[in-house]
Amino acid sequence: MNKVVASEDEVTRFIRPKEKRYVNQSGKLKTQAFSISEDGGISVFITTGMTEQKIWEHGDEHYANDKNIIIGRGYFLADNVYKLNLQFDYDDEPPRHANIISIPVDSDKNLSYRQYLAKHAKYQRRS
Amino acid sequence: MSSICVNGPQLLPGDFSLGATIGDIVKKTRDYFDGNSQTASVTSQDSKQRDMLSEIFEIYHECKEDNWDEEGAKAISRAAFIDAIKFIEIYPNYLPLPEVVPTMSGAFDFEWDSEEARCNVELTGDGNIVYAGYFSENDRDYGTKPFKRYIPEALLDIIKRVIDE
Repeated sequence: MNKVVASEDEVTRFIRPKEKRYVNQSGKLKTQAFSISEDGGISVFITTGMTEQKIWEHGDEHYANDKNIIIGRGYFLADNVYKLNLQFDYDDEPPRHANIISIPVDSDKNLSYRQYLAKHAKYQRRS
Repeated sequence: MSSICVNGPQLLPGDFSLGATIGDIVKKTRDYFDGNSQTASVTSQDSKQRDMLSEIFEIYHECKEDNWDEEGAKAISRAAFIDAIKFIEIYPNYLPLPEVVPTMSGAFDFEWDSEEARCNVELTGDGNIVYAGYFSENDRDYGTKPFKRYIPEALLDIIKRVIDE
């Protein structure tokens, strides 16, 4: 049985190069930072209670690869997902991994939902 | 291999430069890809517009094969590339230009962002223009329109609102 993501949980979307593809000139996340994967969801990690260093280490171990390192992350409260009537599939595989699911398939509505998440996320560049 | 020369130094390897004016770009781009022309040349009078066109060309050349990001991203089609060029061609020159990025689904995404608002436009080359605007929690708009010779009025209204926010 999958775990539950609480509204107050912190959700992280790791950012890979090229930064300018995902972060705008004002240092905010672009909508394309929230792209849909082949399974129709948005891959995220639940990082509640983790230190910054632990978050980067976790991403290096479970998300990055030789060609796509982690240069930063977008983070937001899970409540923003629930406000859109979306859900989490918290499979914990790899650890702390979840997918944001139930995103509308209609391209314009899909774009609007991803735009909302990007607008409510903060960007933290890896130091 | 091809290169893009836009009123200045060579930007990419090869030998390809576009149109005498921005208005020629779409036709000459089509001619080039149709094999009717080996060269074209462009000199944009607007440096920001020139930079945007350079960005679009660079993105297309980088992303025109499947798996361009080595994470399963779809290729950007020639039709999407043509639409992106056309969009900038007909975009009102009195409005600030957006930022442009490729999408994993094989489209061009144009984005305007202000402190509180945002507009995104996606062009996949399927004949439509997809857009979404965010202004507040309870004030969002989105739509899909055929993309022919003009930017839909509803979309222009969103862009202007974002710029004014």
